[in-house]
Amino acid sequence: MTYPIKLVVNGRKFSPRVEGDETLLHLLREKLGVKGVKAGCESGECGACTVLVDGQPVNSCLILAARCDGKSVLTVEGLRANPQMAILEQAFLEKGAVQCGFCSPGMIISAHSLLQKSPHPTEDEVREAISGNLCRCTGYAKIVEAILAAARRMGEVET
Amino acid sequence: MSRYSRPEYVKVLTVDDAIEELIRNGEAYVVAGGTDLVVNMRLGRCAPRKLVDLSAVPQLSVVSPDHNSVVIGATATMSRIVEALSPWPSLSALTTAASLLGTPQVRNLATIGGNIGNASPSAELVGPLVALGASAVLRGPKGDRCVPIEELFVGPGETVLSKSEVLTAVDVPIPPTKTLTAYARHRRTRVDLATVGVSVALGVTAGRCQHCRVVLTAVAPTPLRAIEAEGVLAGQKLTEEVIAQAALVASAEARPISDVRASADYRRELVEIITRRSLTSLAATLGVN
Repeated sequence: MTYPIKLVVNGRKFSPRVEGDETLLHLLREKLGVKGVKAGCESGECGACTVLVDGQPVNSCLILAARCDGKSVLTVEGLRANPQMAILEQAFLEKGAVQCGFCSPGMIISAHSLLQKSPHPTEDEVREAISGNLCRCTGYAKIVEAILAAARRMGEVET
Repeated sequence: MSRYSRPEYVKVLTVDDAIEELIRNGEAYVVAGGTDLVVNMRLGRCAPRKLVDLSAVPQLSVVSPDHNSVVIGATATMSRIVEALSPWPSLSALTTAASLLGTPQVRNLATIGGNIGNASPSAELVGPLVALGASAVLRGPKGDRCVPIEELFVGPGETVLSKSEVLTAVDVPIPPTKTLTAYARHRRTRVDLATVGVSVALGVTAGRCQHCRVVLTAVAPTPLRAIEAEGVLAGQKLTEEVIAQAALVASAEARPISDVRASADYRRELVEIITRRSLTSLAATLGVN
């Protein structure tokens, strides 16, 4: 049994049919071709699959696709045209916050969500915001530095 | 082919519709946040025939504080609970637990109803709710009934809910003035489950402990009130010795097992330390030691 749903992913409308127990992660990757969302632990622990659903960061491996009927989803691909993304991306590159890159899409979504809510975060707030995103390469220090640097730069652009 | 026949799905708009679905299909599961159920389905630990999604029932996600009590809808998320109840310092045990559960992403999905209904011995919110004297509102075909959280659990994963009942809300009495609550727990990493949880409610009148509850979690099949430790504190001045004695007694009341997270001995030791620290810090905040 499949169910028709409508949702907006990165500004584009889709009307897929989904299984009752299908996750948003599966829908995005396997049916809609949105591969920036990574399948890691699929247990809600690693955060590689983090997306925004109606503006809230969630693990797409835990949320049922059928529940997302009528909702708006943002993945790392959806940030491509966002001017803040360019700053965040540049900061990640400059600080060496990317090694294997597998955690980066989820990390960027969590960082983006934080900076939307709190444009001038403290280091503790940054660490809290990415506490649901595991990185097995960097040891986090460079990622924290990059997000703080991006926040400073965004502040400069504003003024 | 998939590992089992895949479940049907229905998104209900009222609790009564959910109950109807549960009566019609004995192997239906209610789901809201999905943070446990979706993983358990993927791992083949459970195979519901039907998923009854409560997440779109409007009244169920409401958190409504009033002078005497807070009614928290079953699908209120951890994030929502922290946001709505942070202004109440006396509910600190509950908001602390909600802010410690899982990760930021999980807290945007996980609901209070799920945390209670799964009946996990290490569930974060359950100890604080028992310490606060909260009740669960259960709705079934014959109407509502109210069950103290303390009496809700039968064993790990087991509650007194019948197959056709839905947990719709949690009713939390707001503690009287001069009463404070706290939740502290030990876990290995930021996202790990609790190895030991200690919830404390402490009320003081004229320098003496007038009301107290000490609730231990993850050290017994169900949340455990440390009744004897409460007895040590009752009516006493909260001196260092009284607090140390209560913590020691609480540790003896714990009935922990050894598992992958910690040994029973280590858990018992943690109960003493965390209980002592929690009581000391609450007594200090109340200005009585």
